[in-house]
Parts: sequence; C-alpha cells; structure tokens
Amino acid sequence: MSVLAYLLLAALTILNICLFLSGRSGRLDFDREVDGTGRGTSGPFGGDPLNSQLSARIFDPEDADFVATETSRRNARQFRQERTALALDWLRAVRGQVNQSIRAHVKDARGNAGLKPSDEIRLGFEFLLFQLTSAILYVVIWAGGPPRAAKFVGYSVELAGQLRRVTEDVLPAGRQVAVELLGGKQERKS
Amino acid sequence: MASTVIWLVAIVLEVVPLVRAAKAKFIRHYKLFYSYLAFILLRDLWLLGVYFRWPKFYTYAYWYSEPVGVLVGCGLVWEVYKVALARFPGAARMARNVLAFLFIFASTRIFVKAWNRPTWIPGRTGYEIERDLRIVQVALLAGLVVLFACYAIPLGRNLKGIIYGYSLFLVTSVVNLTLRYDLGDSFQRSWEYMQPFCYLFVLLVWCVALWSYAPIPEPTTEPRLEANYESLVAATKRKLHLARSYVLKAMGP
Repeated sequence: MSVLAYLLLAALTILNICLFLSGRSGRLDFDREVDGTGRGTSGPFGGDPLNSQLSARIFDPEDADFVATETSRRNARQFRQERTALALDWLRAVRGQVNQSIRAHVKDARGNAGLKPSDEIRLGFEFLLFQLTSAILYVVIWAGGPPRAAKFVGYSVELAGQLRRVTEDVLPAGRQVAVELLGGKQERKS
Repeated sequence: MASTVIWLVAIVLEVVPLVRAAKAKFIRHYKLFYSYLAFILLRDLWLLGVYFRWPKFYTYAYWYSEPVGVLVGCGLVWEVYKVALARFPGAARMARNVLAFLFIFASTRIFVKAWNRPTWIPGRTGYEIERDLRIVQVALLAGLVVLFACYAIPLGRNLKGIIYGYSLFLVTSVVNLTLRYDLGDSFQRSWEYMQPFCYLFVLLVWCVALWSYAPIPEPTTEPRLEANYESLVAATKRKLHLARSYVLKAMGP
C-alpha cells in the first residue's frame, strides 16, 4: 500500500471518529424521537405520507398539462415550481418515515439477545438501497419536476422488467449449458 | 534537552489521571484502560532510566517493549467494547461478529505480507511491524465506532475521551510510522518531535475526559425486550418494502 493510502486511511478514520463523537448529543435524541412524533408525521401530508391521497396527484401530469394549456407561461412555471417543492417535501416525508421505522428497529434490536447479524446486514443493505434510490429520485425531481420524474421511474421500471425477462430467458439456457459441460467432463473422466 | 522535557511532561500527564481515578475510586470502571496507562507509565520510567544509564541499549529497549504496548492496547479496545455494550446484548452480538471479521481480515493481511517477505520478521523492520499492528487496532476501533453510531449507543464523557484519545494516538502513530518507514532517516528528526507531541495531546485529552467519573447515560426509553427478533425484522422489512413500492406506485405511469 502506498504512503498516500495509509495517510488517507488515517485521515478517514479520525474524521469518522470525530464526526461520530461530535454528533453524539444529537443522536441521543434518537431515544426520545422514536416513539414520539418523528419527522415523518409532520409537513403537508398530515399523519401518514404513505396513505396520502395527495401524493398520487403530485406526479400526475394531468394538472400540469391543464395549467400549461390554459394559463400563461409564467403561471405554468410557477405551478411547476410549487409542484416540485411539494414532491420534494413528500419524498422527504416518506424518507423520514422509513428512517423512523429503522430507528425503532435499531432501538429494539440493540437490546435483543436474539439478534442475527446476517439479518441485520441484509436489512441495512435494503435500507441503504432505499436511501440511494430516494436520493436519485430527489435529484431527478429537483432537476426535472414531478411529471418528468414519473416518466423516468416508469421507464426505469419498464427497463428493469425487460432485464428480468431477458435474464429469465438466458438463465435456464445457461444452466443447461453448465449441466451439459459438467456431464461432458464426467463422461471424459469415466 | 527539549525531548527530556517532553518526556517528563508526558510522565506527569500519565500520573495525573491515575491519581485522580485512584482518589475518586473509579479505576474499577475502566480497569483495562488504567492498566494500559500504568503500563505506559512504568515503561516510560524504565526507558528513561535506560536512556540515561545505558544509552546504547535504548533503541533495543524501545522496540522490544513496543509490541507489549500494542498488546496491552488491544485490552483497551476490548474494554471499550465491554463497557459500551454491556446493556445492549443485541448490539454486542453484532459487534462480536464484525470485530471477528475485521480482526481476521486485518491479521490475514499481515501474515500474507510476512509470508511473502521473509525479511519482514522483527529487527530490521520494526516500524513496519508496529504500523501493521496499529492498523489492526485502527480497524477494530473504527468498526466499533461505526457500530456505536449505527445503534446509537450512548457513551459517557469518560468513554468518549478514551475512544477519542486512543484513536488519535493510533492514527497519528500510523501516519508517523508510515512517513518514517517511507522517508527513512531524513524523517527521523521530525519523527522524534512529532510522535511525542501527538502523544502529549492524547494524554491531555485523557486528563480532561477522565478528570472525574461520568457514568454512561441511561437510554431514555427502554427497548421492548419481549419482542421476538424475527418478527421485529419481518415488520421492519415489510415497512421498507411498503415504502419502496408506494414510492414507485405514486410515481409510476
């Protein structure tokens, strides 16, 4: 390992530890926040952003199209900005609720002697994946507005479905080839 | 002259927390930490004697006592784990697994290195050996700190000070040893001053953090111990999947 790598490792470690130790006072609120009113319950979405009627409407292009055709460009732009802000608030509220669930889980799991590290790692990975996905969505909404973000999601979901279908088509053939290859090897050995 | 003054100041700063803890009777809360402090104090006094009476043997005395210091330091990391996670058996179980993995990973790296280079074994490459052992400790301590952050483990002022001081010591050691190993004798003069100054700062951190006993704060809400872990994981997973599918459904065409 080069000198730079060692120095980088050292700097990262100390940064990590400093950040952790300086952020402790904030993290202690975690115990109070979990079963009280967390971030997810506040904001323009009432009690539960996951069940809000409003959320489906935010990404619906119908309203934006109506405003674009019936009013001036200035009004349409203002409408788009407001919808973008609303969509970002909604995404923040959903993230807040997921964070709250994870905090509640961590609070219960840390004292539970039956904890399984493999399950925790899997859950942590899923949580990271959710955070990553929502961060990408946040950027897409911020950059393109809710209707374009909805199109992007639709396209991504379609692409993922196509990829899965392709994989399903390819994998049985792959397995078959592997079986044939293994069979051939065993025949040669015998 | 300057190095002797630094040495004496270090000895004083090693004595202060020991005396404070003995007076206030809180040594028993951090036995391994104070054992480590007592060990380095005795080692410093012994090295001081060797330096003035048998200067020729000082280098040998320093480098042969250093691995013992690393081993006693491992006890300190163990104490951080034991004390911080005493009330959290779930997090402790996770920590055992993560620490075992990190220890095997970091140790394997050292053994592979030693296997590939026969000249690596003690004597000529003291800096490199110590640096590698310190990196194992850095990995273990960093792993613990990440776990403490993930599980929001409450730490008292004392434990925070121990962690901060020792990690600072480890990191500055790795940096100094790397530079000393890489730059060779040209760095020796700087190394003679940099290492003790970093160490003095660490001792100051310990003096301040362990001036008096500060118990680990109790969590404000008690975990639901009766909850079954499997059902807990299943419920959290369900919530995560629900949120993900809801986002896609709301944004979907």
